[in-house]
Amino acid sequence: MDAVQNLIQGFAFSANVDCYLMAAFGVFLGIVIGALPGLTATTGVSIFLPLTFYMDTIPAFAFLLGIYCGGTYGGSITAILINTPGTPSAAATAIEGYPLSKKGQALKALEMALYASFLGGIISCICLIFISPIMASFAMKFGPAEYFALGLFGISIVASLAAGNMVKGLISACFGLTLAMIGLDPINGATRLTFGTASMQSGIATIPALIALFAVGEILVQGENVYKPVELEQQQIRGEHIKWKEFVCHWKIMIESSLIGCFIGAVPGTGGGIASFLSYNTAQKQSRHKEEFGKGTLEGIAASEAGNNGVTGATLIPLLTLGIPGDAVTAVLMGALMIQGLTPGPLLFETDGNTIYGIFALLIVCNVFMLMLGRLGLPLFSRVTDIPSSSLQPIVLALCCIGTYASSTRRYELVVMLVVGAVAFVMRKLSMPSAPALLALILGGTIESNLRRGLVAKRGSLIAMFSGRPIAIAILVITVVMLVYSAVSEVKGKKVTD
Amino acid sequence: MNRIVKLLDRHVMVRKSVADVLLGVAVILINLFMITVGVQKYITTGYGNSYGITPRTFPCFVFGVAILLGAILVLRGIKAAKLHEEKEETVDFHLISIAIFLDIIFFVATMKSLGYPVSNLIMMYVMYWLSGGKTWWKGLILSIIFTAASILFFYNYLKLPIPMGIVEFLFY
Repeated sequence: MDAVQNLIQGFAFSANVDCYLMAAFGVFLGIVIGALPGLTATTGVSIFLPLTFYMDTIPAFAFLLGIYCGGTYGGSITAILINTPGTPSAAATAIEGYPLSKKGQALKALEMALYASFLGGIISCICLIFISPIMASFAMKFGPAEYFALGLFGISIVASLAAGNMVKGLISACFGLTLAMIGLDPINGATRLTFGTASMQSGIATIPALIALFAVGEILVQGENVYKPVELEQQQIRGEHIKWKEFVCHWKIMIESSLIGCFIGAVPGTGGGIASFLSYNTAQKQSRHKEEFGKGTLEGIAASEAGNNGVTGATLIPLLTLGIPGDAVTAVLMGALMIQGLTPGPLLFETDGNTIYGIFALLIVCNVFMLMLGRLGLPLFSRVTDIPSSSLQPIVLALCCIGTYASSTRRYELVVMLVVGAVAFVMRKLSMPSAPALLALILGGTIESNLRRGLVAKRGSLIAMFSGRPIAIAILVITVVMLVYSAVSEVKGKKVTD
Repeated sequence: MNRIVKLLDRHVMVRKSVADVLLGVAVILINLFMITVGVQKYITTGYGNSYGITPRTFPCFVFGVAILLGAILVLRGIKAAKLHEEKEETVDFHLISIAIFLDIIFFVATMKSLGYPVSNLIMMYVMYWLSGGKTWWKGLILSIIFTAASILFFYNYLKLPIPMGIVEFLFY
């Protein structure tokens, strides 16, 4: 019952016009960004993060969580209307949504996507509220060995699952770790890899790096699309509204898919894409009308959307309780927490309990706004793809530049954005994922300082560091098993392709 | 498609396996440099190190792993190149990406001297054309409106010290 009481306090703490306005604005922006093919919730949160530097913690998070929730849902609009998922997590929605639109039932499909997203989001929030405090109290027992193992686990899993190319994912992680090593040593303050430049002593800040990795790299790649104009066959929003009966008869699938989303979201390295496909496949296997899947069924949309929005709250569990971001967007949110002077981890619930429960309350509010705005603004959001890229690209680029400059008002950060942006462009062209690099940049300090503290405490012996630490050993074993499994699957997959 | 975009329609096409080999070689060379020169010359060991654990320990481990991964990438690239000699995916690098990159460099280089309003306006206008814009006044209006809005938000509302450069007199 403590969780409920704390949540009520959280609602009271965050209940003001500023917060709700920021949440509504964030959701609106998020849906627009999510609906735009090529822009994801991660890009949206990265671009708009600098706007929150000078805000109070709660309105800042209302805004960012709004973009996150709205962005996750927004991808379904274009998936249903033009068969182009705005975000990767809406890919499964397109399989059922577009055929339904072609049958003249676009409105029904869009409404089902919205309601399922809302339900998924709310169930995910409930999981977050009840599981987080338990995880946090458990994590209080963690020492350097556990934190080192967890950091390594987070990076390795994201790298190994990324884009089906483990080696490139791990190289990306090494790049992020290299960036994290620049500046002052975390233990004794010695200068590292500054190449004689005074500005580099402050290290590579998270904000310019994440803007470069997720927005500048994307702008450079999207720039080439000017030579590949795509003719999109947009379906009109028409047909009947979804009936209460049609919605209610899928309750079981939606709850099941939401729980799948929650579970997937809580595991580092996964995300909405995996959750939506897993939910979709589970729904297909359990359905009495398997033959209708792929031809346009509300069941498939309900499963996919409840699954991908079920991730939104759950991804915050490892971030807030362990200080380990599970995916790219939570890595960006971790940066936001740190900017606001909060250190993610188990102590956060004791030191800033009100703020944390305020954030939980706002996540619920964001889902409610998503439902309201999604319902009222469907005609508007469906026209988002009409925005020409010649208007959108300059705005995104300018936001990246001013946002980066705003993070510290130094030109050095812009230079970092430029260099990392160029690397991000090459990485994208060569199918190398950016998420491991960002995660490694953020977790690099934690991994190294905990490893060194642990080693020094045990006279330099790695074995002694882990002896008597069953949780740390278990995490390391899982990491190794996952890496070996990914490597074997990749080799097998390659052999089949060859 | 506007004239500028047409002019920049040049690209380099590289086979995916060749690109992977090049990437692997680059990773090996960069990390070899880091482990030999970077670590020795640009990482001071400082004080208070014990049991051989110094600020160089972790970087050496990371660079070592990166070299190993680079070698795997090179070997895999060579194998793939032999297997798919005729039919293979390619990676295109367009000139337009370099043009966009130069546009950002222009902004970074001139932001202090010309000032944010002028640099941002020029960068956005060039980006408008590079993104396929066709009407000169639309690009100009977009750039002016965004620049004005961002100054209002960051400079006037958030009090962020944005360099105003040659138009500083307008903001006194």
